[in-house]
Amino acid sequence: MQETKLAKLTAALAGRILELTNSNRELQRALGRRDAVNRSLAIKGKKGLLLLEESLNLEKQLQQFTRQVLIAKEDGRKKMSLHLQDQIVQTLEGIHLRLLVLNKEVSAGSEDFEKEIAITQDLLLKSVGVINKFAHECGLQV
Amino acid sequence: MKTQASRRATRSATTRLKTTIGTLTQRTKELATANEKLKREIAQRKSVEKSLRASEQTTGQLLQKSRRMQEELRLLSRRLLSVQEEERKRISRELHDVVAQALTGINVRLSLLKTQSTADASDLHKKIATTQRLVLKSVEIVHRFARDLRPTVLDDLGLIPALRSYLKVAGEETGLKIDLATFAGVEKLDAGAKMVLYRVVQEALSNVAQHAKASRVTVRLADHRGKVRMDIHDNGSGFQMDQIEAAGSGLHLGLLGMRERVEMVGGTFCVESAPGKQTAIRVEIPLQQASMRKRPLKKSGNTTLECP
Repeated sequence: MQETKLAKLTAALAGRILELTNSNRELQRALGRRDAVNRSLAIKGKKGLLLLEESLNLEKQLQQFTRQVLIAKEDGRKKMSLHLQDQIVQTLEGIHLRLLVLNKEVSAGSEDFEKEIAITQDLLLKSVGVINKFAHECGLQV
Repeated sequence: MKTQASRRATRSATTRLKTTIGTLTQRTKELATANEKLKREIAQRKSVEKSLRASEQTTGQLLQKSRRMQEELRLLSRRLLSVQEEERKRISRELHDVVAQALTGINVRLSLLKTQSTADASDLHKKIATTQRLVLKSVEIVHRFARDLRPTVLDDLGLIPALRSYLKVAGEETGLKIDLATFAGVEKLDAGAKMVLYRVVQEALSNVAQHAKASRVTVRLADHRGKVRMDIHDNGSGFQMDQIEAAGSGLHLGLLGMRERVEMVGGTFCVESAPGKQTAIRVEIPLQQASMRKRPLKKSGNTTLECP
């Protein structure tokens, strides 16, 4: 009686061992697969991080470049503005002054009237030269 | 005798069975333990895999954002360069075509005056006055170019007079009703930061005039916890932020340009808008900032222009 019980228990245990052995084998295979997946994910992750680092560096460089362009643009505008004010406006104001003088010459009936006109014309021609030079420097082919 | 032998055999068999059962039980325990360990390891691997995948996803998203930002910066730089080139050409052409031509015309007039020097004085006065007007008109044109390029009033008198002057002209040109509210402390900002605020107002007004279909704009400068806060509101039709971002439109590049300028002086910039709702631009610049050129490049924390 006891022998039979023991024999049944032995058989049950053997069955359980077989199940566990199979299960362990399966689990080990699954673990192997997971390890392989994780290894490839880790490699991919490292590559991703490298790419991200490169991308962020490039982004930083582009941002630096954009800011330099903005600064250069502002500097360029300032330079052009000053040039316009200092050279062209000044020359035009000079012509205006010459015309005021001309007006007075007319009132005074001066004989130098024609000479004054010639001086004003010289100034005008110089102004045209200054403007054309400026326009040329700004990039216009004239 | 036989019974005794049988009992002995049975005992011996029972003992063997018990030993076998002991061994099997031990093996079963070992296997079960190994099984549990494997299950735990698999769970751990799964957790590692999950975090690796999450990290991969985050990296991917960051990479995507960074690439989008790069693309936007490339577009913005190209736009800035081409706008600058266009501006130079426009000014050159107008100087050549309008101012130089006007001066040539004045020269012709003067040549005529020379031949008429014997004419009566009142006629000569009139002709000279006309010529003077032509010269003054040219002066005004050149002044306008210079003002458009860089408002000297900003350097000479400060941001508030410069904005007042600009908004007055902009209001007349666009038909917009523009209100300006300021505080004197804004003049404590350095020249670079004041120029940035001025340019942001210019770009914002240009955007409103071109896209917003608005009738009213409010520009408000206020002191906000050691910072200058500038809010620009319009009552226009608004827009969908993500749509203009996706389209890489001129409006979006304009907004990006504003943000870059503001961040260059250590400030923050954001926009709030939605179709059918007013658009609001907010700029904040610390009153104590480093120079634009000396400021180390700090990566923009934003990949979006929207207000948090």
